[in-house]
Amino acid sequence: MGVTLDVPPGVLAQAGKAWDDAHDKLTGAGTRLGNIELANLSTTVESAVTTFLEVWSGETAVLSRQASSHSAAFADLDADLGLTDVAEAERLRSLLPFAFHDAPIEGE
Amino acid sequence: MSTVVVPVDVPALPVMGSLPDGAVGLENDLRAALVNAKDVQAWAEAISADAFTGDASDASGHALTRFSRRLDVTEAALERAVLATSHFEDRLARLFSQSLTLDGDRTSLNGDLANLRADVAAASEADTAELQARADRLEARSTRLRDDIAAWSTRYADAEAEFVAALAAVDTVEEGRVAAADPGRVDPAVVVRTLGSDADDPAAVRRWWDRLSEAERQAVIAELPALVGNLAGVPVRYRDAANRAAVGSDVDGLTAQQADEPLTEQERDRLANASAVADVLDDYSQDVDPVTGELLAHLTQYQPDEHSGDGGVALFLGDPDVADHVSVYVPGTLSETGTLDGTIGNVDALHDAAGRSGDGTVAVGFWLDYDAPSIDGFSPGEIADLARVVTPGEAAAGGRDLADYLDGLRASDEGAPAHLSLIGHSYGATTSAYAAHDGAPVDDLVLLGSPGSPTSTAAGLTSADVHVGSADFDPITLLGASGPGLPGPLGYDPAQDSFGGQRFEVDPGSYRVQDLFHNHSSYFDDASLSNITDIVTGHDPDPVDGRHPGSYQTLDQLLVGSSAVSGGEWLWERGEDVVDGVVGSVVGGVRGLAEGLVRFP
Repeated sequence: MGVTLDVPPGVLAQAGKAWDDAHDKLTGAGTRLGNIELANLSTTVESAVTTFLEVWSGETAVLSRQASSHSAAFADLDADLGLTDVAEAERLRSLLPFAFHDAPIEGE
Repeated sequence: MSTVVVPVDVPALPVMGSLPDGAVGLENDLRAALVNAKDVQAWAEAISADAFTGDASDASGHALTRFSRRLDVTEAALERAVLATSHFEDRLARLFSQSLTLDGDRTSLNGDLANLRADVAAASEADTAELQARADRLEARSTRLRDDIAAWSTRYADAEAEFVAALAAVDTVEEGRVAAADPGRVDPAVVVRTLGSDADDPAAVRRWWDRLSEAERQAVIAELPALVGNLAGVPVRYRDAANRAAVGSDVDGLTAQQADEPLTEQERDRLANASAVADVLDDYSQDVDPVTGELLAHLTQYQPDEHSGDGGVALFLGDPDVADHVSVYVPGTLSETGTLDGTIGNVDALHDAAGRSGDGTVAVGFWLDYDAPSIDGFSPGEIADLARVVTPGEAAAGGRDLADYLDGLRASDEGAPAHLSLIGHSYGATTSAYAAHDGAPVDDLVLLGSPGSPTSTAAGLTSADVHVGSADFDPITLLGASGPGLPGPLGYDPAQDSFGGQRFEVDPGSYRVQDLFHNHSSYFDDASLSNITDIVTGHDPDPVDGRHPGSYQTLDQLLVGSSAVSGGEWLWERGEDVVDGVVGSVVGGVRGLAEGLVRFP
């Protein structure tokens, strides 16, 4: 027996799409940061820039993967896999706008 | 003779390891990434617990809020890096210009020293005192110059050190957290609100921009690149920065999206437009201003979703805010953002020719932010049909937007007002004429291959000097009405003597029907290009007489005559459909034009 997250129609699909868009944009940003070709900068400057880019392209990649994972959670729901337990429902609820942070979880 | 002590030569300046174009390239990439990060963060923050007005005490358990806060840290670090890179680029540009001046002084001084050595070698004892006095003066110059070079070297070293320190201050996640929590961090929404209702007033926009700190400017650019990049009155270098960021973020985001899902039609158009503009920017990525060392190309307009997906774009070679001569070219039919090669080729040719004239600094750009009608698929035999499908509506609307764009260039101009010329070709000439009629602040208006002007006289059109390039065998220029009566489908022919413009010399074109469209597209060659260059650099072109009714071939005469001269071979190659087209145009051409005359408002 599954559980139900009580939110208005369309909210879950909209959230899944928004997380997917976030994934695309962060992938684009991370790719840009990771592929910057430095030219006409001194060795000293290049070194500082490279260190900076390594940190923040890495962080952007982490956030991109998070967004992808969150989007996939909603995609699984679309595929009628349903919510199997309260923990999964709480996780999805946590990925919705905060306005739904106390949306009821029913049918446990 | 006594010895004359001649100073040694001043050595070359240290090489700049970092150059302005290197810094601006980095800055553009960082900002493009920042724009996409900001887009995501703005979405997440707006629906996170941080934007919630109720009880948000359990926000720490809300994953979306944690995501928003973590992304904000990256955003803050990138903001700091963009600002630091922009500041570094400014300093490098000044240092680059100073290095040219110092090197010029050095070359001059070393030349004087060489002359002195030669004079010493040929001198007699009696000349010793005078030569030593010259040597002493050169020694003083040398000392001052060496001091200046040493100070310049220190400034360069400081610029690099401060830039490196600025990046090092945010090159860990913990430092990013500190930057995100900085109470002095600029809120771009607050900054934009200070613009108030002045967005439509370029002069007021310029004053607003001048009041902002550099941090505020950079924050607004990264948050709202589409606003800043297309806002008349914002200095061109900042519009360029904003538009490059928008192009980069569009290419990055939509390319990533395309990899895992199909794009909508609008998204496909946007990506195609962004990619076309990115290709042009890439083509010019190695071209730098010889005086400032900054990038030559400036993207002054980027509206990828406009005009039913054709997009709107404007770009300059050179910086119009500081150039002595500024020229804006408006292309005509078949022109859209996705097909810029021909347009940029004309701009490049004119920029090159005007730059070589030696009559001051030059910036030449194109403006393509209107809905140019497409005549793709028309054969020469169907030219008269244009009267049925092309109307002045888009030209009138485009003219208003073009006038606003030119107002913006005037508002952001620095120093003495630039000599500003507007060059329209084909339907772009009609659009430019409408802009002039709407009060566009230009000094010279150049109409090339014009199918019509909204007024029957130059004096009624504008107070600017009106120049007309009209090839005898360009059929499009024959669509305009020849006199002050009813206008043609797109207005009056500005090449008519009665119009009162200054017609200048162009190649008449080939008298073969298959070359008629080519004749219409050949104004940026040979004599025509030379005359346009003269106008752009403030000189008079070579004049020719305007048209007098009865003294030239009308459209129908040209179509019949050129078909008769060369049509046999051409028609044979293309078959019956074209024969029908030419015959139809001869019969229907007059009818089509007559209908156009009647329909004109």
